[in-house]
Amino acid sequence: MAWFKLGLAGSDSPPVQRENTRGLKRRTREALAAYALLAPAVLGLVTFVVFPMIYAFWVSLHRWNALSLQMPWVGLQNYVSSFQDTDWLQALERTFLYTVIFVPSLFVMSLILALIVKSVPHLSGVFRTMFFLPVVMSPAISGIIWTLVYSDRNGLINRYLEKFGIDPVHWLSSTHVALVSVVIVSVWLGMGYFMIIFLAGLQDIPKQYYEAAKIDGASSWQSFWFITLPNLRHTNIFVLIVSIIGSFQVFDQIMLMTGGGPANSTTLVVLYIFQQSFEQYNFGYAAALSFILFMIILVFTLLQVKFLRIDEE
Amino acid sequence: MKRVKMSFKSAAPVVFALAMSFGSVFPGVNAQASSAKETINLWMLNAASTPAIEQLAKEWNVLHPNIQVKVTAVTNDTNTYFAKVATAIASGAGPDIIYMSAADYQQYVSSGIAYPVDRWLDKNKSDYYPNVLKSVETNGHFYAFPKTLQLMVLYYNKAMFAQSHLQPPKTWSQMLSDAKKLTTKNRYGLQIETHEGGYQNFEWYPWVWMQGGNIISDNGKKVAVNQATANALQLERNIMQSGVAPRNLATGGFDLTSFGQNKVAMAISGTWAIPFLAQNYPKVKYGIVPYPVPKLGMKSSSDAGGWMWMINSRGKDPIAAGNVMNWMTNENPNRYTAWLKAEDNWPPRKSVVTAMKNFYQTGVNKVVTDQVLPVAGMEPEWNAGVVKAVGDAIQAAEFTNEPISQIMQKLKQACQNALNNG
Amino acid sequence: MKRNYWLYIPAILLSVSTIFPVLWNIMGGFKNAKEASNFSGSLFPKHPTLNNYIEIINSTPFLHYMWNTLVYAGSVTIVALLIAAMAGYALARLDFPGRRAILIGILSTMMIPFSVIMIPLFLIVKSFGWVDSLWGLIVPSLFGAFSVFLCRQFFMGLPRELEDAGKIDGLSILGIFFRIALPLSRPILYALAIFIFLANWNSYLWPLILLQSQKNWVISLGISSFSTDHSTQWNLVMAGTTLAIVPTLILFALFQRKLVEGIKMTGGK
Repeated sequence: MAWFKLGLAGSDSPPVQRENTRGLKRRTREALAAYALLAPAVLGLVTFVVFPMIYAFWVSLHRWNALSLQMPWVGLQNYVSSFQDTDWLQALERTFLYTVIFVPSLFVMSLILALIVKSVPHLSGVFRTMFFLPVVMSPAISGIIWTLVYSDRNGLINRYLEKFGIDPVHWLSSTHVALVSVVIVSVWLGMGYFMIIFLAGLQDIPKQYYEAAKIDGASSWQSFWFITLPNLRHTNIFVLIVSIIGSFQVFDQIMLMTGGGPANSTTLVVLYIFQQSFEQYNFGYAAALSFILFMIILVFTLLQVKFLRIDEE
Repeated sequence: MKRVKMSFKSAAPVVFALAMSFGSVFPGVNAQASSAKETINLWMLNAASTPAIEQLAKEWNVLHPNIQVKVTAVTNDTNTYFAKVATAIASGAGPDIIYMSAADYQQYVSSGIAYPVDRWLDKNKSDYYPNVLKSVETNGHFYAFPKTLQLMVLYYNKAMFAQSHLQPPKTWSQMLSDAKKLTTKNRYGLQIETHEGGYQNFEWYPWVWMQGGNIISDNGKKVAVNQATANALQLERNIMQSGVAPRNLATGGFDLTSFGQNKVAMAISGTWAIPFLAQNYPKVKYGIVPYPVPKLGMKSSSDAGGWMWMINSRGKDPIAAGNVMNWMTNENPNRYTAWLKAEDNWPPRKSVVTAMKNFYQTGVNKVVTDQVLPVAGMEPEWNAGVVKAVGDAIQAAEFTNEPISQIMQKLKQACQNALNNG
Repeated sequence: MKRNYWLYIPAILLSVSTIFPVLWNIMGGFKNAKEASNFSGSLFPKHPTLNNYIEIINSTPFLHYMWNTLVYAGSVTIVALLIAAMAGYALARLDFPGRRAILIGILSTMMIPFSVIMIPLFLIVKSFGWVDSLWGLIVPSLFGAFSVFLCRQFFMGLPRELEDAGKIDGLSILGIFFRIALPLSRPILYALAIFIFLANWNSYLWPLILLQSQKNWVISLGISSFSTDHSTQWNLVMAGTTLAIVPTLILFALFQRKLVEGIKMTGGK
């Protein structure tokens, strides 16, 4: 738990510069208030997520099929085996690739949607609702629609390609293309969600900033670059951290559209872990894979916490 | 700031209403303790036969007021169904009667979940087909009430075949060339499953078996992959790469909606599609033939799948649960007539085929009874590692350009590993 | 203000892509079984019918499922919002030992696949006696790292002066949170309310694992019951989905305006 030490009191600078200090008393009161405010969330998460995680970690040190009453101890064997499991390593590699394409695309698309909604002269409420629709829609229906849009013949995309004399693309049934097709759907599913978050963030930026920039003769591009983006800092950090965590966990749209195929080309880590648990009945191994995934995401997040300077106001 | 307070206040009645409703929605968290009746929980996949099973449960409940059967059918998807069952069992809250697939049977038997059902099955042993009995037997004991049989066949559209002056295919090459001829801009020649999983394997095994081949030897101990396997993989590649079949299905390959809508001319599917087509697409004139064979004169094959009924040995009263299932499926075979008809399943026992002669000797059912049932092999119960290995091989044959010999090498190795670990 | 009329071009193109599935689904709910399962047919029903709705409402307890879902998602939303806002505020504004460790600890609960903690979570819920009850859906859903983190980031971005004014007025820390910060965070709370409500309104896997009796079912289970292992009644699925999305659309339409009411409108100054 060494990485937690970094954040413990005393080792990092106080995030808030207090204008007056009435000694220890004020500090203690502040800490007590903080713990009181945090208590429900922390207790709840500990009960319903952290305990299960500890249990899962314990399972990861065993060989267990979930059904048997016997649970032989295997130590770190499950972790060691994962390094020889080429299917797992490939799933990891694909997940990295997925993340690299997905996260920036989602970021840019959601921000564009938010800016469109904020900048259109009229009907911004209508567009806000429209853009949000994929989030409201049932994933099962969205999955069907996209499968149809992507279909080889008569699929919407291929029909247009045909008009321009381009050969039809096997969007979901080519091992080279399927992953990208899944990313497109994931961005489509998530962009309305993060658009709302960007919109809420944009509300925070005082109008005076823009007015001042206008007086100084800034172009709209300049005011976006020098006012909007820096002032969205906390939103940007949120979107980045959450979308990276989310992209490592993608599951539903893959199950619905490709089932991990063709030829495993869209089998990403969480699907692989699900298969190991409920198809292969290797619960101990699945738990070990989950903790490897956990460590990877944690490292990514800690790097972001460090480099994005998440504590600064 | 006033407005904010208002809005929080106006939320109060909602909170109150919700809090009140808890009373009606949670009529009693501890209600089960008060009743003296015993409840037997039966969990199954949501299937075409679910209403028939529910009806049987109702009849049982009238006859046995002290032992009430409660049927829970929550999902149509095998993966999530078994996720639910396994989670409940691991937490000691499993059902008393488990609807069980061949792929999961061994795992449940070896974990000690399955309660032996010899005491019930022994009485009627001679009436069951021997290979059906074998599929529920492990180390000399029976561990499930046998499945009803769903058989894999080839469906073909009679109108389209007549229009193109074609006969239903008898060989692999005829099937491929017919499919090619019947493929148009708005129609595919043949539909097969495209997603990896137990079902895709299930659909594929007969291509191997009809050549006398197998994946694992009959005793379950050795890898039996050989040229027959390679030929069957090559066939799968030829179908997919010649463009006569859809490469990604919006719904599963078992679903004959597209066939009913004249969007495919032939489809590999199971007998469950017979009542489906009759109900939803009664005007479509279609026929059924056994799987085509590599060369004329060879014997075809089929896969007989279906679901068994397992008694949970950790349930509160396995004997009572066994009595329920015995009553439903074993004691009086006529009880499951409705359920057999709902899915067009073939009974696992001879007396029922005779008793329901009219049903099994009419129309397409006759083809299945006379030509498919006699050559069908039981759905294998190989462990999940083998299932995955075979699934990967089929996918690689269909969607990559990897040489078949290389796919075979990997298949052999993966099957061997699965046997060693299993 | 400059009139950016050209923005309508991307706006309309993008909305076409987002509205199509919803339109397709709503239209499908008015088609008969045969037409609804023909995915390459026309968008609009040839013989519009209300039979699907009549069948769903008469032959399944669908309205009861909707009520259950409303109770579940509604109560989770109200309580979870408060829990997340409290925690988010503490993490953003207050100084206390273990601040960053707790933040990272909370974030780390998002990093484990659900399928792996499903069995232990079921065990815990069972020990509370909540198997096959709505409590087992509601209570574990009240605590979300995502919500806490979102609130934290929002409070980080809020100008501090407004709270300082409260300090000068002699408010306690909790007083500042409840009387100043919480009201100021309305835009994010509305957004978060929509997210939490939708996530629970649509949730499928956990209700599937936890619930047995039909009287406790939620909408997603009701819709999945229109599919059997070998076929799906698309007309009923789409009618059911339409029934499911209409309340959420109304909710969004009501709330979305609040999202743009910025700080200025609350009249904090």
